[in-house]
Amino acid sequence: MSLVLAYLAVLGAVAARWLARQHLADRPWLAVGSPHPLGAAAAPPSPARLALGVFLASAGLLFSLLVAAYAMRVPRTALVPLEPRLLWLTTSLLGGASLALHRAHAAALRGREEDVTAALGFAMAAGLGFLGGQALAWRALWQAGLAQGPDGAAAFFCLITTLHGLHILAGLVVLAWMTVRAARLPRTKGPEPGIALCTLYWDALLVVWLVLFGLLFRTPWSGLIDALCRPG
Amino acid sequence: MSDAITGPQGGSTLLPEADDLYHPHSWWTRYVFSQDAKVIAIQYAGTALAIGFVALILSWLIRLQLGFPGLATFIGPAEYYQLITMHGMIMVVYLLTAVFLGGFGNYLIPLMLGARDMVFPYLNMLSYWIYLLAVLVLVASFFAPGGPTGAGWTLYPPQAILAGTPGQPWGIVLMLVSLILFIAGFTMGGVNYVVTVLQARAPGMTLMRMPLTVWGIFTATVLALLAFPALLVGAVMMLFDRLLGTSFFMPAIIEAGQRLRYGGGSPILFQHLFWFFGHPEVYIVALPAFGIVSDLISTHARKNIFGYRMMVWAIVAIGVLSFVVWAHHMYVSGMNPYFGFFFATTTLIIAIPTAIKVYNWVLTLWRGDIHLTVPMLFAIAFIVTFLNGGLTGLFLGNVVVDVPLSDTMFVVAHFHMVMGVAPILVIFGGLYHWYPKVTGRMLDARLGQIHFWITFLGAYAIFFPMHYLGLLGVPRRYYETTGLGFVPPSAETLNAFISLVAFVVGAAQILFLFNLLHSLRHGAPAGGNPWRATTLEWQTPETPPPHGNWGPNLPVVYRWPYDYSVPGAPEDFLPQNRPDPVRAGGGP
Repeated sequence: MSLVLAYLAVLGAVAARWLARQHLADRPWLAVGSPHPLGAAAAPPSPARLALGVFLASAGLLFSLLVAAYAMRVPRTALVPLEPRLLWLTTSLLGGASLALHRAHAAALRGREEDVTAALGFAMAAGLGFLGGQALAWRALWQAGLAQGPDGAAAFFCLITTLHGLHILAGLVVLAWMTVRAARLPRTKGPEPGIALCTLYWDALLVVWLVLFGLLFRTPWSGLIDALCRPG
Repeated sequence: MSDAITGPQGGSTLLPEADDLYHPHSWWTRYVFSQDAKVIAIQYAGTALAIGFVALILSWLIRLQLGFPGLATFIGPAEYYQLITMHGMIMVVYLLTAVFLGGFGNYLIPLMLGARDMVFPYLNMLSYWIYLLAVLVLVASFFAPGGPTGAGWTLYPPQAILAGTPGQPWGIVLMLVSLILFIAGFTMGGVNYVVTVLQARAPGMTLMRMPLTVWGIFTATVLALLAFPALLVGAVMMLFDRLLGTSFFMPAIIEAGQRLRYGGGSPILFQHLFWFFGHPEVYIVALPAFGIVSDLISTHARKNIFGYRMMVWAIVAIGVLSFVVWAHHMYVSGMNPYFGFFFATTTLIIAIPTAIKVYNWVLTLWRGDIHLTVPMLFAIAFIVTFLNGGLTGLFLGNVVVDVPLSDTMFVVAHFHMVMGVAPILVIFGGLYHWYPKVTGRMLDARLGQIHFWITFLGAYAIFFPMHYLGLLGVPRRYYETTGLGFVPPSAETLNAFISLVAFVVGAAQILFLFNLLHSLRHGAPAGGNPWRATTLEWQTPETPPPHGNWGPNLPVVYRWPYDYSVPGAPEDFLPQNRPDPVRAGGGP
């Protein structure tokens, strides 16, 4: 659970930094009067962005717990009994989707509608490809009966890819809705703000997947993940 | 249009115009698929109280078996385990969590902060309907083949999913699915509460001018958003074990001479996940209760809350500490003794901010103009009960004391006092307090007092002797203790007494239900602010507050929420939105 506590500590530090700016040492019983700004405040994030941030913090803890559970349950030497080539391909697709969304966001800021639609379409296709590839890997493990093995690595692969895949699926639904909205939105309204949120969401899911990939398979960054998740 | 306004002290508020709100077009969208937080609050509270009454009936059946074993022939050991499991889970998750966060949270956050509604009303509506679905799935398990699960409310594997445990065919599956749905629904609501508190406060409503009720609900929501993922992970993993044959939690097991397909799993892993959720869950329920009690005491003692800043800091500190105490529920799981030492220490440390709150409540009452209204009676009863439950918690927080008391009725008595009776007293106090705002009518005070005294004295008659039973060594989770050599006959008599009182206390809740329904039409008109309270929800232009809460103009906040009995003020309370600067320190 050390990873979970470390994750919570990071969240706690962010919260403490924010709380420190909220004048919690004020004596509100003395401060009577009309509201007035005490200096310039930074522009607050949009409600949707804040909501997404809060959700991602909660979802991040969910994946941290999965990693902690993996570290507690699966022997250090155990690996998912699967050739990782397919997973490298799906990882590239997820990365591609993320890049495409960045491109869509940049195009939206420049007002290039055709590029926005094309980039969103590519991101959706890549996301679907990622899910398809994960499903193929899932099925291969399942049909070989490996998910019921005693070391649990394959079972964790199925569990983790299911939960991560559900998040991707939800992202794809929002992305589809966003694409339709972006296509219908009059140009005068400016760029669709949801694209920036989708980009953030997709980036977060990419980072989560990279951590999980490094945990479940031997990758160049697996040593780092091991050091973080299985200290000692 | 939404205007982002820079609030005082660098805070910020997002204030939707009245025209910007979603407006219902039909009876269905106004009262059923409503996006208005107030309607959603009533839906949440109504559903939670309904399922709570189911849990009450289950507790009657439990007491029937314990007090008069053999009398109810339809309760066998399997049914008994199903009763205790469903009673516990319903009370903790589907009643207490839902009422405090879904009920009080939805009603009070926008009103107390001067907002028109939650920031994401559609998501809010979705949150309730998913909660209702979770409740229906849970109820469905009563009618499923094999009945509901009897694994105990902690659902410990491996026994939870093994044949022989009641509800193994479908009950456990439906329970886990229901919990997953509940968490999904709550997450939607929880994100909404956090964003609303951070971004939809009225001008002038700084964080340090928020009522403690909002602080409690806000912090509990953050806790829940960080604690429920652990239960979600545990539930999904157990579903995989049960339905797909994986072995996350299942060790190698030989059953009736046959080696089961499971192997290599860790039951302790589930305990870690469960209690990583389970202990913060105590505070998810307690923190809103702390906040509500603070407001009730201050209002009905006509005195400002003592140590407001300390109260806020204590809420935050309890929230943080609640994440590093979970393993004190696992002292007898065979953990490393040094871990036990660590968790005993953190458990004792969390008593400090909790004690600060208790002292501050008592000091608020000290020399106050105490009005023994029904909400106040419940609030005072909460303080006493929480103190009792907290003190026995100190016993159990120590490893050497916990080990012999573990799995005895002492533990049952402890957590019922601190986590059952205490928060329920606050729920009643809160309902008596805010019912006039919700309906425009007062609840009948005489009925309320009868309800209070039976509930309060009854709860003590039930749970005080239960501590003694635990000290005698009477084990919990036993279907029957008759004939056990280590349980003296006097314990049987005491059990019968406890059961009789439990029947009376349970029946007294019908009084409350009657009062709730009868007063809807026949209660005395309440007016806008019957308690002469300072917080914003009592300052709405209409009562009950209309859709959008505030009419054309949002309130502006000028002061903190506890200006009672201010010297020189024309009345003994100054509402938060009253601009006249009459108090000392504020200056003319």
